[in-house]
Amino acid sequence: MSVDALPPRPARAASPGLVLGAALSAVFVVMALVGLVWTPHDAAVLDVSQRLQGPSGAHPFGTDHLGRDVLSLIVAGAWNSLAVSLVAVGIGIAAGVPLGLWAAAQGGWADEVLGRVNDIVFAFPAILLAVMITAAAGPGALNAIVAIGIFNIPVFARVARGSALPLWRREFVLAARVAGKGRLRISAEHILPNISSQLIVQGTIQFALGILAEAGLSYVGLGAQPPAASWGRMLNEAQTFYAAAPWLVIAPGLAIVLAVLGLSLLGDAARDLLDPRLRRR
Amino acid sequence: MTGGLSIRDLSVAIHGRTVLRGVSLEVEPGGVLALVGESGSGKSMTALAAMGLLPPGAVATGAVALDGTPLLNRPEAELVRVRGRDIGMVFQEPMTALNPVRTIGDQVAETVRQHQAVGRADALLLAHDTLARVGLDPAAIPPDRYPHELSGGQRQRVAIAIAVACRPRIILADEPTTALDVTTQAQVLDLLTRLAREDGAGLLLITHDLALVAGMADRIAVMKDGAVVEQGEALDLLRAPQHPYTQGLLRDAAHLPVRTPRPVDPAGPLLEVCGLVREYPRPRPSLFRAAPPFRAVDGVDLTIRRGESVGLVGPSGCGKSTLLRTVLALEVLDRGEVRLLSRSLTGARGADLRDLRRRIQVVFQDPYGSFDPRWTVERLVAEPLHLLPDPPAGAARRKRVEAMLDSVGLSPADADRYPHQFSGGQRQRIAIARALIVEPAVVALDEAVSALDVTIRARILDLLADLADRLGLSYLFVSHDLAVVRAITDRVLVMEAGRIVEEGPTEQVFQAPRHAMTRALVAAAPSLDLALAGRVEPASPVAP
Amino acid sequence: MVARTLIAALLLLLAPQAMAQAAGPSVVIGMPLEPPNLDPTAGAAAATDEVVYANVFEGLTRIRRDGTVGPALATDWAVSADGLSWTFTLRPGVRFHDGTPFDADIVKFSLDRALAPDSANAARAQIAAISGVEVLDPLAVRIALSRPMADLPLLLGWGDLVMVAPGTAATNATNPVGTGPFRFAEWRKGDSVRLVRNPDYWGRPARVGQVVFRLVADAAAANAALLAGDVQAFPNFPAPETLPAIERDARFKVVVGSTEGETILAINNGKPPFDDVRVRRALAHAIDRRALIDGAMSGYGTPIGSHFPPHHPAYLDLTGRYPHDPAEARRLLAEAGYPDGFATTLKLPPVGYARRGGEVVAAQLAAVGIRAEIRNIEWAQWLDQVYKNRDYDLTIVSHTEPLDYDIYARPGYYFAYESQDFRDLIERLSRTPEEPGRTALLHDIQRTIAEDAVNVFLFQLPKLGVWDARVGGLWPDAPIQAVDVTELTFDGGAAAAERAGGGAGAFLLAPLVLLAGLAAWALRRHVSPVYLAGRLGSLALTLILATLVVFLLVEVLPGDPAAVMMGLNASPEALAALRAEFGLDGPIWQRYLAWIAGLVQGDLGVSYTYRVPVADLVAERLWVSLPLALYALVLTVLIALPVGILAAVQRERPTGAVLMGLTQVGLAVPNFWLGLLLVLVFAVGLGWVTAGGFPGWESGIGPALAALTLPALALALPQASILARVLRSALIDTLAEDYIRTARAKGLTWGQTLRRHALGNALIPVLTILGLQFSFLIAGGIIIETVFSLPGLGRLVFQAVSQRDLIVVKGVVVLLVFAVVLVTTIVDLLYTIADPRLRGTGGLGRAAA
Repeated sequence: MSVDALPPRPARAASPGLVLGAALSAVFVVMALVGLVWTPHDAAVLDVSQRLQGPSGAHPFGTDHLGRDVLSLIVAGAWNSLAVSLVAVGIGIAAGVPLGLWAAAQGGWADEVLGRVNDIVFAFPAILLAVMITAAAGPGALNAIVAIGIFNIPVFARVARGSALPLWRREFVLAARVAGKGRLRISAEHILPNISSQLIVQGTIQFALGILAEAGLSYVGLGAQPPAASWGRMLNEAQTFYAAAPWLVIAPGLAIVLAVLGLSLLGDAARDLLDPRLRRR
Repeated sequence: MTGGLSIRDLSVAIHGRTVLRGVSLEVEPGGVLALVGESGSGKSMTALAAMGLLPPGAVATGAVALDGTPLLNRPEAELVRVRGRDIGMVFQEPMTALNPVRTIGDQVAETVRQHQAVGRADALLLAHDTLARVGLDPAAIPPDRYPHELSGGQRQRVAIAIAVACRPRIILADEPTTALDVTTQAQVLDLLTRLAREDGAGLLLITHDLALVAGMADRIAVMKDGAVVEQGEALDLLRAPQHPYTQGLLRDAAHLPVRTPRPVDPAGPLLEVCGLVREYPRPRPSLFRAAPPFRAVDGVDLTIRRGESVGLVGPSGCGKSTLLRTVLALEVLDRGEVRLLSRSLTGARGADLRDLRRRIQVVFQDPYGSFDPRWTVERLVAEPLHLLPDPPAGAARRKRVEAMLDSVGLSPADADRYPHQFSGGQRQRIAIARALIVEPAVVALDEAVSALDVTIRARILDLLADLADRLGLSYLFVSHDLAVVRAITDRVLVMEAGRIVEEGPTEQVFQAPRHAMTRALVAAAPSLDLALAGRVEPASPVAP
Repeated sequence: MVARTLIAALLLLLAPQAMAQAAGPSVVIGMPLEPPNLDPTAGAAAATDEVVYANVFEGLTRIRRDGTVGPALATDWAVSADGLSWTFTLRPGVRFHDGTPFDADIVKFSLDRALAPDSANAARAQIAAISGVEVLDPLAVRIALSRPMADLPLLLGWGDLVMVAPGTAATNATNPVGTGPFRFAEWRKGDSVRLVRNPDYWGRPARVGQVVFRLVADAAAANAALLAGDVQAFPNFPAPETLPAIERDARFKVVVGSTEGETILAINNGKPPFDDVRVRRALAHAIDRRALIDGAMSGYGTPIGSHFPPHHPAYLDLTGRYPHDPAEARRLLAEAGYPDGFATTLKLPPVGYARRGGEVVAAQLAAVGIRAEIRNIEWAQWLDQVYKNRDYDLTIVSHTEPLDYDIYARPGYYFAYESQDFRDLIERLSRTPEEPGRTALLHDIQRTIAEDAVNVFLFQLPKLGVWDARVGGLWPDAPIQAVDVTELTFDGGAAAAERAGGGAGAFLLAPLVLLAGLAAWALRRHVSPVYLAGRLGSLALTLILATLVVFLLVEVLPGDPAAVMMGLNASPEALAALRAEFGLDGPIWQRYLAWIAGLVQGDLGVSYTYRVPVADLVAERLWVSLPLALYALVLTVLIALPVGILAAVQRERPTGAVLMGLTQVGLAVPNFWLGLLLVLVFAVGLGWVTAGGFPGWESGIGPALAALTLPALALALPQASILARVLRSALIDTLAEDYIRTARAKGLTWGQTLRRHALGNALIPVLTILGLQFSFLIAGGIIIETVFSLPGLGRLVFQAVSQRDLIVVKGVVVLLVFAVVLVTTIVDLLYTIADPRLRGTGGLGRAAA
């Protein structure tokens, strides 16, 4: 900062992105939780006589080819999206963050090995790994979680390492070492709290990406299996009905877009709020 | 209206906050105006306003004129013709002021091509000459080098070449030497003044270090809080400052902490470093040959006795910091041994290492980076207590932290606050408190006052002297700032390229330096006294 | 100079290869499954017969469109009084497509080959009674039997027993040579098989010049391809739900016929609680066939009450035996000791009727208290788990072989129905070749399995034929699994000309390798050999580790590729023969080493299913996937650059905010959904482009690029959003750098500063993302290729996984990984152009230290 310290820009009121992102995310999460206990209609009940009804008062998004209420399916499917991507992010954080912290703390060969393993995982197109896993273990939400989770590991390892490395050169970490603290303890006491904002931001983004990935896997039939409701699978099933029942294609797609949009807006807003660089400027 | 740059009653507000109020300055052709003030006083903003490069959201009033042509708030299309052609500017940070992906020659030539109707080849030729003029011999440093291949001083010369390539009528230099080391500082300043005088250009030299410009400025203006508090002929102002702020500045710049001479403990050395070597691998020059490792520290011996303060000086990159980190056992050493209290620190592990660590603590340079921003001062200061076999907890810890804060001049209530709530000087006090809480025998100070403004620096030096007296501390004082080292140490070691080249009692070394490096350092060190002594007559070639 | 040579080589590789085209009308026929190979004697895959039966290959007899047996290569036949000796008179003057004359020796060769102990022929068990084939004279053979076989002429009409010539029998899998009215022209794996008229045919020549069987696996893609006019006929249309709309469209004809496919809810009779007939009957009462047919088949399909086709004269309508009656079902369950029902599983193979029907069945079972958990599985798993190992409770499947009620008598069959009474009935039937008595026996057979409620009999699978109104001569029904095009007509004049080209070759990643070479050449002054060696070393290490991972992952896949390939009725011996052929029985490490050794030489092995080198398969697909990825990459950059720059420059203004909002949305849109919407708007709605498929590069750059435009756009938009955002933030960061101020102080205008100083530096992080994105685009194509029916690597790998074609899976994955690593390396090298600080040093961050 070579210029005489500039006065900070006046703090802006909550940005529209933050408001919209938080609102959409909240709707998504609430929908997922509510969907567990209540949906407008029973999403599992088929009524073939009511199939392919257009949007109406009773069925705001119409009914599908088996006579199920599309709105109810979307509400019920939110849980699948939420659970799969949340757990996948959890896997990524639980395995990736310690790895990244360790690589940053250890440096040298550990860093080298982690980098190499990361490269390999990154080199595997995610969908291919998912295909191989599901081919080995059969399709299902659990395998989608594993496949997406594995991809989150190097992401978080990279973020953790990347954020931790400069911290290790910071003087407060040197001070902690002079105070005799070991690498493990410094990682836990100093490094982790100081990279938490980056992790939260990345977590939100990976959450959003997880929803997209789950939808993709379900769309090709590798994700959640019936009767569990899933947005991706709804799209797959709806494909041939688009001429007769366009709402079947549009409604689940919009649900995905809005949920992902909400989370990524939230992630961006969080980055703006938490990024120390932006804060200092 | 006279020629040169004229600033009249300039006020600037950014997002409604006033940063400059009624600044008036004149930079005459061929004259050097030094603009002095602490950080945040508005010095840089004045220069940026003159260039028309104020940050977005800034509103400027008043007048800025170059040779009578108004500049302030003129359309961008007019200003781009003036910038670089009539006014050249040099910024503080040479490391980042150059585009890393373009060659230096290209970057100099760009200024020329921007303002003169010359072809690419001609512009490069001119750039070539300009680089030679700023002391970058094209035979040694070809213009097709990239910035990262140059040292800081060389880069600043490139930046100067960019500024003077079109032989502007005014050169604005915004803290051009702050980021450089002491020997380079003097050379760069000499270069700037020489170029300005050769071209008959006016030079506005912005700095926070009064001593630095005392020797070369024709006029000095002192700024505080966005206003010029005093300006006048350099000698007059330095000899008889009128404004209390200027008086204080001069006093603090010359300030020496009061130190009671202490008898040096004859009972053996406290810290002993023998034959220390630290090497780093270098990239292989070719597939089949490994490069010899880079020796950052090359066979250093160093001894500190109880009650003694030892200085370690040298240009940047000489290995001071590596040596210090190795002594603190933050880095492994390749050869040699570090002994503390006659016990080997080098091989110590576990409880033994912890016990030794508490005998030697450190205060770092950067008062911002020294603290985990998420921790309270209490927790920060208490962190080294971890080294004690039976660390106090709860109320006992609190009490100890409060006592420590009190002894460094902070209030006990500060223990509950966070580092960002303190000023730079206060933070350095917290850092000292943290170092002292385990009652070490030696405190290493790594450029501990270099980042502080002169007034605050004086207070911290007083504190350090006082603590040394009260607690019987020994200091290992690492700095490139000779004035500070001279003020606070008993003995000094001079380092160059990983080796100790001279060693002796501080006064003796400074009075009669033997090694060329030492002589260069001493000669380059800005000193107000020397500057004043040297200027028996007005240096300005321009008749008043 | 070097660069020019490299570019020339690149262009040469990209140059389309011209292909001859047959004269006469050309018709494209859609098929839902791709044949694993084109030799009908080498397996039971229905898809093989659909393409080549009667069209390319002919047998002594043939099955006609009404299911009766007629003469083909035999003009006449007679049976001895004891039924143990058949004499066939052969048609004179018949030649194979390669000129080989057809005679009695050919017949003996073909039948002996099918009967050989190591034969992989799926009908081997059925013709096991043949004890000898004797050549009487060039145009007469005698077939001796060990027991009487009344249906020998019918069997000889099956695809499994067509006539093949000794010289070409071994290569029929990839280059079928028969005696039929069409010759094989070309097979583009994953895309199409092309047949052209045989001008020298012995009988009435074909009426169309060329028939292309194109693979359209997806119901949605099939619908789109039909509407877009890419395909003229679907003998088995996979999307019944769209039929009402198609029927209203005068351009198309919908012909709903019958098949031999009895669709059943198969029950594992050997496993409690299903060993209790009351439970099985409860299941039968629980199912509402009408609702099932409506839900799963959009109303197409005839309810059945037993395992017997309704169009057969001996059909007995037993659908009233178990009326839909949940109360009765509950009562039966309670009686059997399950008043609260029970939990079970329902395994569903990947066909529409099973997947959709399964949901309806599960819901109907739930209504009587039976909680059936649905498990969707691939065909290979179905064959392995359900069919072979009887590891299932319930499943839904259609048995499409004609008159296959004998399966209920087979010991160890997957129904686990062990009834001596029923076996006696079958035994009696085989001794009753004719009336009187045969119909009565067939009625008893139907009644017995219905009474025992062996399975829940759902509906007869309809044959949903959909074709262009100008197409004639296709069969309305499917008495056997064949798409007979010998009488096909088309009066549409210029149909969508289908040409094909084979860019096969060993240059798998030639373009990428060339690119890497180009990059290295361009950098020769900038990159130190040390750095290059380091990069190459890490590249090699990554590749080795990746091959290990791929191999281990793929080798643990369950399923037996041999079983998949051989189909439902393959014999264990045939499976063993196949396993030996592909070295599937060696130790794992040996297989790994052999695979690696092959990889090094550019040999990816031979595909199990296609029986061609994987390298050739992949090379063909690469010509779709690689251009698609490159096209998408170009679009990504073209969209992202202006958007990113504008958004950075205008970041304080509404324009910037709007652009960022748009990129946020772009990020959130799944590319396959975008693909669907694009198809809906541009292909179905506006009709500007085709809905899917790929005409091949030899049809010209224009049409090929047009076919790739929508998929590339669907891939590019989300990626462009990412790139634009990265560019924006990199640019904003760069604009805050000190050297920007230096540039401004030089007198550069804002625009000049942006161009000369900001963009170059902002490009560095953008490059990283771009490198990653290319990988995403290559791999991300998988889903998009499915949406748009493109014959690319993605489709290949999906197909290969479902067919357990392990060698192809390994090859494609390793290749994709290789491509990704290579692109990463190229990007790393490009860094050194963008950022001189990296040149000559070993890595990042050392520069300003």
